[in-house]
Amino acid sequence: MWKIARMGAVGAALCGGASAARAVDGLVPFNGTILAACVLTVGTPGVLVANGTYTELSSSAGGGLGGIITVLTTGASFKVSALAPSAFTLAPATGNDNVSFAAAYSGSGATTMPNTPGATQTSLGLGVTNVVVNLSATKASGNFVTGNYTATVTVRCE
Amino acid sequence: MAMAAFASATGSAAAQALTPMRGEVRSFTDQFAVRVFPANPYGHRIRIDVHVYDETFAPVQEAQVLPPSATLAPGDSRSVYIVVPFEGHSERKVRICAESVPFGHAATLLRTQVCGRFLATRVQ
Repeated sequence: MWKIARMGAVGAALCGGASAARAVDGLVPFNGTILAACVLTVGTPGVLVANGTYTELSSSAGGGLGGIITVLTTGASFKVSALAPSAFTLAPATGNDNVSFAAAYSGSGATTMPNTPGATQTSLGLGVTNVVVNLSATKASGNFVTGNYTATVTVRCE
Repeated sequence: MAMAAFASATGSAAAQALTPMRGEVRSFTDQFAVRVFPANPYGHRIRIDVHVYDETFAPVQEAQVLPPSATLAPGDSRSVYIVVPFEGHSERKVRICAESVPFGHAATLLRTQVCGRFLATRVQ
């Protein structure tokens, strides 16, 4: 009886010894740095349509489509603007005669922006802002003739 | 004429269009250098041009940009090295802009321009 008890005690001691080997946790640190950045991502380009008298091409007219761009900011103090072109990059021979351009933009999301003249800078909040950019081209004299027209608006974040 | 100072990011993750976007540089020479990292946030390959402008957005013609343009794979970024002379001034503010080449086939194309602002001081 005494022998059996002693063997049990030895067994318990062995088992206890195994369970006494505690797991050791090692801490692996991870570090990361996000720099203040502004990311512009073009969603869809815009579509220009002519008015009834063919003196204006506009993306905000019926059937037109504003360009969509996503602005992501990870830091403060960034501003956005949309710069109108000075001429069409693609147009028929008389397409750039007597034409003036005007860009405008509006936004929603992290920053809510009403319709704003393109050259005006708007401060951006942190996060994602969806911006709609519109462009109009107006002829002071004459009319837009048949052909393909392409203009480029520069969306700037700084 | 060796460059004495750098403004550079320690690294740039994907989906950043340009880092750093603010910086101050001190140089002991008559020019200063900045290293920036334009990045491609899109899911397709794009070409990015890097230009240097002054405070009024007039191009700084004498600035050297290496390389002035690059093709970036989706999510990729690369370093661009810029050297700008002080032109006799003790301080110079420049904008370094990463500009994407417009894409799409619609009537209104959008070009993105992300500009970092840098202040360089010449240490006499």
